[in-house]
Amino acid sequence: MSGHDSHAHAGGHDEHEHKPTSISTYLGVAAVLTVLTVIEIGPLFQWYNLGPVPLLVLSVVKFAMVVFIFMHLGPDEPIYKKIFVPSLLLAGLMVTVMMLLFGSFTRAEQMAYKGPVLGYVAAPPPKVETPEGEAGGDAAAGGAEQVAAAPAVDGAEVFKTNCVACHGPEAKGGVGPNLTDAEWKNGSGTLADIETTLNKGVTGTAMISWTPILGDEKIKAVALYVHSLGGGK
Amino acid sequence: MASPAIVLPEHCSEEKLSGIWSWITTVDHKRIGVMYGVSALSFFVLGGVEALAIRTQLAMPNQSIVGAHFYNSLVTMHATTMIFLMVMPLSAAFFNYMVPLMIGARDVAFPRLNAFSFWTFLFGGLFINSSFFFGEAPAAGWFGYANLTSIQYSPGPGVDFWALGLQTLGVASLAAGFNFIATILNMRAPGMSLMRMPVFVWMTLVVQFLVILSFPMITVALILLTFDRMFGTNFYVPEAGGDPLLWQHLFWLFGHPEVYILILPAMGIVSEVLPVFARKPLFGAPFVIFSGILIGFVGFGVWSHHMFTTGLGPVADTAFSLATMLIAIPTGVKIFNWLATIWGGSIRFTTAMLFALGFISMFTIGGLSGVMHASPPIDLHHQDSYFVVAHFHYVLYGGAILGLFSGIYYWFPKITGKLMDESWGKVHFWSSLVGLNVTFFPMHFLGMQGMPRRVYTYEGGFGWDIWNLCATVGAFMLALSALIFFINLLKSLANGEQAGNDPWDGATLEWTLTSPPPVHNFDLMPKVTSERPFWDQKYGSTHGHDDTTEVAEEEQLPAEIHIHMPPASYWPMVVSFGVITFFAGLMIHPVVSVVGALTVIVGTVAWTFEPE
Amino acid sequence: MSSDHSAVSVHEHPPPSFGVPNLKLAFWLFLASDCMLFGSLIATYLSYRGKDQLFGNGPYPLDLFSVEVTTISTFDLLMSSVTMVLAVAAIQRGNMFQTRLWLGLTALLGAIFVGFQGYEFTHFYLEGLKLQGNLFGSTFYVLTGFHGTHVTLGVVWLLLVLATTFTKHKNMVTHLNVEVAGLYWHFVDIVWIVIFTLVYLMEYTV
Repeated sequence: MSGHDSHAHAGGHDEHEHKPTSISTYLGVAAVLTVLTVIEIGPLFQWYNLGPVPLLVLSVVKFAMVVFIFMHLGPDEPIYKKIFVPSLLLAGLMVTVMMLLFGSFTRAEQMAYKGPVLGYVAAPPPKVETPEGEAGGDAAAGGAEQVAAAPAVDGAEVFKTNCVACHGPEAKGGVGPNLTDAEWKNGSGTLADIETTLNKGVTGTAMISWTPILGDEKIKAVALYVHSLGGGK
Repeated sequence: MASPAIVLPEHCSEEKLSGIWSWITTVDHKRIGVMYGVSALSFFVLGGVEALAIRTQLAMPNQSIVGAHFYNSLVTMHATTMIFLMVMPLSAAFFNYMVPLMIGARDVAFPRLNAFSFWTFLFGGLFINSSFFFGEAPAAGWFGYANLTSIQYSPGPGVDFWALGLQTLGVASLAAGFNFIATILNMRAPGMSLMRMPVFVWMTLVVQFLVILSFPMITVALILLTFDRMFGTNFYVPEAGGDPLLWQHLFWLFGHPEVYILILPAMGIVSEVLPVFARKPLFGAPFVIFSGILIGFVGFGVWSHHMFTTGLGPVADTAFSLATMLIAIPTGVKIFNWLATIWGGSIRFTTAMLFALGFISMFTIGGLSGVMHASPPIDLHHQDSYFVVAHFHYVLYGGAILGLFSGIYYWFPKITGKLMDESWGKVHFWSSLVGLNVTFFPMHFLGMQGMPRRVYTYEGGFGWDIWNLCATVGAFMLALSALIFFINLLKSLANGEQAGNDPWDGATLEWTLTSPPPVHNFDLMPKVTSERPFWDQKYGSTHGHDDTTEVAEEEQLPAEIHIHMPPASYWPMVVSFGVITFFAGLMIHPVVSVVGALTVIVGTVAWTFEPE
Repeated sequence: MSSDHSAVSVHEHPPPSFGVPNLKLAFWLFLASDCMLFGSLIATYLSYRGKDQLFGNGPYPLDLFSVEVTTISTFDLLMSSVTMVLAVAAIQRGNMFQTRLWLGLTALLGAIFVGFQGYEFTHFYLEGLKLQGNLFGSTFYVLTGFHGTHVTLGVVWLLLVLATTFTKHKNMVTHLNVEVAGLYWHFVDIVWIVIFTLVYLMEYTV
């Protein structure tokens, strides 16, 4: 073999210098990977719950086993590790920073919230007229309506600022009546009736007309919130 | 001591090495380097013409020499051409030609893959530029921000040409990245440890790592864009919840390492040229090397400094601002080391040296304006103004291009066997230096005075008129300097003075060979005992070792040495053709893409089974 | 190597080259690069995850995911990594029959995985998840689609290697070549481990 450095095996050997991994090791690793995967699928079949952290740990362990043992990164020459591991870390860092910049972690909290959906439409959104010529294309149509329907005001916030003084922090009542039960003193608990009460107030009580103070948008938002508390019809 | 006879294979004969087919099927790194160089210089002219058109339009207020849309195309194509089709390929020309020579190798690790990279680059460059003839050149800027690039706001084919063309160029660069890293890590001559490699080779290594780790981000950004435009997905569509900022993040995750890809090769060249013409070793070579590595590494962490005005919030702004300012440190280290190299040296002001010195000064100016916009509150005023245009032209023209010209004057003798004319060279240098300052320095003022970028005309009466006119005059000076350069190039090729092996009294291995080198580069593998192996050979060991190995070797030389050089092949070009056909087919008809993909697969299989 | 007689003993300096096969070195570099590619696709998926829910723009992952399909295809790909490793071990021992057997099995398991992906995509599409519909549609199909394409190309590669062992070029199927094919195959598996966790499992956590 004359000096053709351009050949695929320049400078090196075709075989590993290190002892090859034994078949039993490979099969052992395969067994461990199987067990770990079985553990991971528990939540899918609702055998038990697992949080995100244990799941990530399990997947990292599996990943490392395949890379270091099946792909031989462990026993092989260090240069391969020096190339692959930093690249992997860079990729992981990039994913994490992107998620941070896009608010993925705060959004996850919002998604995980199991209570009344505050400020966002719980029921199917009312059809909103999209202005002429806006956002052409199928892709945009559904989205545009949703965006137009989502109110910008957080009804729960309005309630917290203005209503808890009389109706209590959980709206269960205090000076003013309980807004979470099915009993309605004024109107019958429909969204429209709640809005009317807010706009007109109730003469002879401490419930004033809130229109001049809150304005239409906030009235609608807080009415939506109250309606969703359990007693709404 | 009888020199052994070198026996080369039949496909390396004179007859096989002449004619156009020999260039089409070449896998010789030297020929590939020449092809990259010729292509890059041709695209330089094209990009320059685009620049002149821009400057002519902006010479005076309220002109309509070109319309607004075409102006946007000019701006887009000027940048795309200069970045991807001029600076990168010209750097690649030097990687290709010089790296194997400098490390004592006969070729790169994968010669056919090397040829593939060249043809893919050429086809990609031609594809993007064909857009001028097929409806519309891209007009959304070289950075293609979403959602201007959406099918809604850019309905013509321009953006598709741009996106698919860049994907093609990306494939070429990635393949070259794998090739060069394997070559540099694995094919160095005996005795050449990593720290004994020339700094140019080190910078090449860092650049190739930047390529393979950053190009995937633009690959994905372009995939998402192509899907949005062609298949109606929502990645960058705000109405469907998509975020145009996703594009910006992905683009700049690539884009920032890309600017280091553009500048580090020139820095490597300067690190070679200064010691030779100051007759002093590079001061603090390990520091220059480590600074290059640091710049590359930290360069992955600063991308959002291009996004300070997008509302990222104070935490993100601060983090990216700090990281950006930190990069100034290793950059400064390099500059001080270059200055220390020259200090006390015995300086020869050849053209190559002048360009290297020009690099240091002009790049420093560009770096200073760069550090200014590392501060978010200041950047709020700089963003999208001519101040940024001034900054990057100082670092790109004053930096990368002057550095690359230094490389051309330095290595032209090695490549062609002839010297470039020094007098014309000096005229080229001074006219470039003056021209670039006349063009780009006033842009700092324009930026401060609030002139926005990327707008085809402007109103008079803002105080911008005089500086715009000045910049246009400078642009034509640069055009003239380029003309002088091309005349010199052609004249020198035709009847330049014979260079001999070592016209500059160099220190690195390429100067041990004939000019131009033989097909097989080295007769015998060189043995390397320091970071200046040729200097050692000429003047005695750099580090005072007693070189006994020279003697022992004499007895071992055989009478004949058979050298195997890889044969020429047309499969690289076939596979390249398959790649461009695949991408072009996305704009023409799916069947064309299928044909392209099949060509790639069949071509790759044929390539694999071709006898080596 | 006669031309290297001038390569003098270098015992006073460390060996210059890393002395590893160029092909394997270049391939790990390719894998490092592919990490960044999938990293970008995953970053896109995760950055957009949950945004549809905020706009009430379904269908959502839990409406569509089939735990059975996901489980079976994950085990399938995992097992294919085992068969791949056995193929590499077989060729190292020079056992051509076993090499062919395990290569064939790996390709088969890979093809089954692609089959399951195709089934899943079809099922989701019929349930109303379009590429154009919402962010989940776009990000899911593109991410898992690119992975599936990688698997498909891997199956083609393995079949080509297998086929080569039956031709006159059979001595080109060296340990190194099969090992490199194995590296690609395992990479495709580890990317799936990541996707399986972040795309599927994460929807079932508390």
